[in-house]
Amino acid sequence: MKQNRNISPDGDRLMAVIGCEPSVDHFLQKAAQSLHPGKSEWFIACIEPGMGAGHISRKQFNENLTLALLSGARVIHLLDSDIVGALSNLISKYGINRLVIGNFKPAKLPFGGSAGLLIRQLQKCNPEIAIIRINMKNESEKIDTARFSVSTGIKEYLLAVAAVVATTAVCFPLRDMIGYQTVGLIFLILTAILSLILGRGAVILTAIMNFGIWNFFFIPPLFTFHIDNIHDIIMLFANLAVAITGGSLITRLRRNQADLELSRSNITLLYSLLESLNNANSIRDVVAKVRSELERHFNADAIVYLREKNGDSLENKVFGNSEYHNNEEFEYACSVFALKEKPVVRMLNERTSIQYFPLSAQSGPVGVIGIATETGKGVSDDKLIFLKSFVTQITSALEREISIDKAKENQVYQESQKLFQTVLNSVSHELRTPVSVISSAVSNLLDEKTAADPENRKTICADLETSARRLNQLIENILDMSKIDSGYLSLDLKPCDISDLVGVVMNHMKEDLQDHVTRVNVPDTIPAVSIDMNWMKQAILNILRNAVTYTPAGSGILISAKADNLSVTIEIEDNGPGVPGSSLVHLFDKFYRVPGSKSGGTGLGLTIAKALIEAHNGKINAENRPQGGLLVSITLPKTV
Amino acid sequence: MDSGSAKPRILIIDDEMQIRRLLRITLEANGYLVAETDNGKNGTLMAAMEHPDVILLDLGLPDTDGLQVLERLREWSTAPVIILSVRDEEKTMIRALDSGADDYITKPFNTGELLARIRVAIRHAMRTDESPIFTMGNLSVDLTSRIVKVNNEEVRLTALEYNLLSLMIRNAGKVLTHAFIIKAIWGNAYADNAQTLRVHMAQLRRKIEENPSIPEILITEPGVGYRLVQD
Repeated sequence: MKQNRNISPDGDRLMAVIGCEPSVDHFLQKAAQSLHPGKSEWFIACIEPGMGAGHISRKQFNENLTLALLSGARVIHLLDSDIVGALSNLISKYGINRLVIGNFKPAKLPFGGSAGLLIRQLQKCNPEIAIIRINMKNESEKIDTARFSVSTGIKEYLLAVAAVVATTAVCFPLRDMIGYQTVGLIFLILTAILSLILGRGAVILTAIMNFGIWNFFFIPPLFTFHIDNIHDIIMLFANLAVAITGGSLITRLRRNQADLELSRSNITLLYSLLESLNNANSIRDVVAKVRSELERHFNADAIVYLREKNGDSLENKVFGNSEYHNNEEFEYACSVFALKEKPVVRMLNERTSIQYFPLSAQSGPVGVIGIATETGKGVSDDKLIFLKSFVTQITSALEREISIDKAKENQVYQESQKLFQTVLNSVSHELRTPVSVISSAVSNLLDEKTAADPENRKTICADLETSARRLNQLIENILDMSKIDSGYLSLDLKPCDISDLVGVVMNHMKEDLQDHVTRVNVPDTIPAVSIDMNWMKQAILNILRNAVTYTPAGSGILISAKADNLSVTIEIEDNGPGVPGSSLVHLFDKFYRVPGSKSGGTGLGLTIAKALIEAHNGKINAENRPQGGLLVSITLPKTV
Repeated sequence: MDSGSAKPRILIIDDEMQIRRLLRITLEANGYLVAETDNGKNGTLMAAMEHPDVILLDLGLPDTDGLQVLERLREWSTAPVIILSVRDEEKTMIRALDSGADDYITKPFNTGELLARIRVAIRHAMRTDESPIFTMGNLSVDLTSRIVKVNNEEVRLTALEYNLLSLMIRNAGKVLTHAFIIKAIWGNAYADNAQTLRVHMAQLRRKIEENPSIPEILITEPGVGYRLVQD
């Protein structure tokens, strides 16, 4: 059956269906040929055989699943109960418009179901899609003999025989008392009960034995197979019919239950894996979680290689267990990544075998995972199928983390661009102002008319000096910041009295502090701390300069110190206007300036102070005083 | 050495032409004779030829390390050397001071400060200030009778404090490194003497400074040492 419909190449979504049939590679190749390059999305539905399937089916399915994972398609993994329903769900979920079916053979389809029957049912449910049948000829089908061996162990048969013999032994002496027809009823009940417990074969055996024994030992004439009464014949056949129908019903029920059990345990497992992957918050974390889950559920370990950020090949960077890494393995992983090689189990050394799977996401290949198990103790077939769907989940988790990383990088880039712009604006303004003051002051000095007046000269020179100081401060700040940023900052720690430190700062700031009322309160009892005096002086200078610059003339500034058992605290407070609450948290951010503050300053001073104090293992904090004004406190650990 | 009436000679070793020119103008205006060069090799040569009274040496020279120039000078010359440095060079500064430099001044400097340093250096070199009474603000120290007065009231110092003070006075205006002071006072350089020095200096300040929290006589040169200010 081949239906071709005109479909728009835009939004073409094709789904191939595979199960346990052999030679899916050719089928998948043919299916892939019908894709519109660049326009089609393609999916492969892998229908996993249930518990009842024999191990050949299972093995074949594993191979098929591997091929599917290698094909670059999005692989969806289904269990084979209600195939039509499950496929219809997928069709509507993913908006599939074309379905390709080859020699699809699920492990079991009721009544030896064929692909034809499946197609008819699917078409009925999904009239809007095109279903394409690709017949793969000249392929000898392996017959999965195991499929027919319905699992009823020898124990079940023995139990059936024992039950029948016991019933017979009990009923035979009582046959006159209760009558042979009642015994027939008892046998019927026995069959019905056993059909609930045992498999189909054992139940049928029970029915046949009942049939014979009842006829021979109970139905008159005794010890013959002759039957006079027509009721008895009906009773006999009823016994047989109950046994067969009940038996097969119960067998099917049990098999479904086993399937459900398997899928339930698989779902629980997958859920726990997914949950763990979802909680991962970096590529390394994903890999670490993958390793621990593999260890827990499969007794396996992993190594992961990822694709280069801006390239098409694998990056030689190991995630996971680096013991599995060597050049040869990496080259092999690369060839698996390029889909040049079908993943096979490779023996890494005598103890460890490793199998590489490509991690292919929709957006393209992400990387390769090597799953290592103990040699000779690989993952069981049952779990292997599951392992592969886990690999799909790993892929999406990694893909997620990679795109998050990318987004973050992008954000960082944009922020640094923004920062650069801010720096440029603020620094260029800060540089230009004093430079333009200097150049105009100089031209004023050169102008004889202006320079003739000594008052003018004095003013001009004062301007020159202020500008030079401002430039010097700016340059020092920028140099300090770059020194801190480059990590070049090295501290020469020596015991130092806080009073000495504050004295040095006050001496340095003498001229700047002229317009403010400054008070120093550093008790003699404050112990010495181990600091780099020059850098700490710089930190306090910056804080103090801030207080001087952003408070009106005449404001008070208090520098005080206190000590407790563990630390020494230096506080610089003023009674100026303080800082708006929303700005307080940003006060130490690089290039941050409180909105509306007067010009001058780069927003570096407090950042430098913070960095320097933190380099001393200290803490800096800024808060508004309840009575108004800003309080900056520096806490240094006592080390002497 | 030239006689006191002649103009003192100053040799500038700095590779920045603008700085040299500025220094020359300033120094000549203040009555000094100036010789200058832009590299270390010439510097050592000119020091031998010009017999300068003070050498201004920039540490960042293009041809040789300023410290090497200093060491070579010190092999035969006792002329005071003032180092011109930039901030963040404290470690180099200490090395320079310990290998014979007399003082340092940090760029950018104002000329008043530079001239004061030069005066101090010349005075020390000529040993013309060995007056037995030292006064500075409210402090007066009689170095012969070992009497220290603040606001005309005698202050009792311990022997160590007095030794420290008199050392600083004898080197008034000059920066003294920790190592120099420790060696001068204790005669050796045990590490824990640095701690002791810090403690004694704080005590001395409490006794002679008007406001010990902002000292004006004995000031700290962070990371380098101490200086007794002289006006």
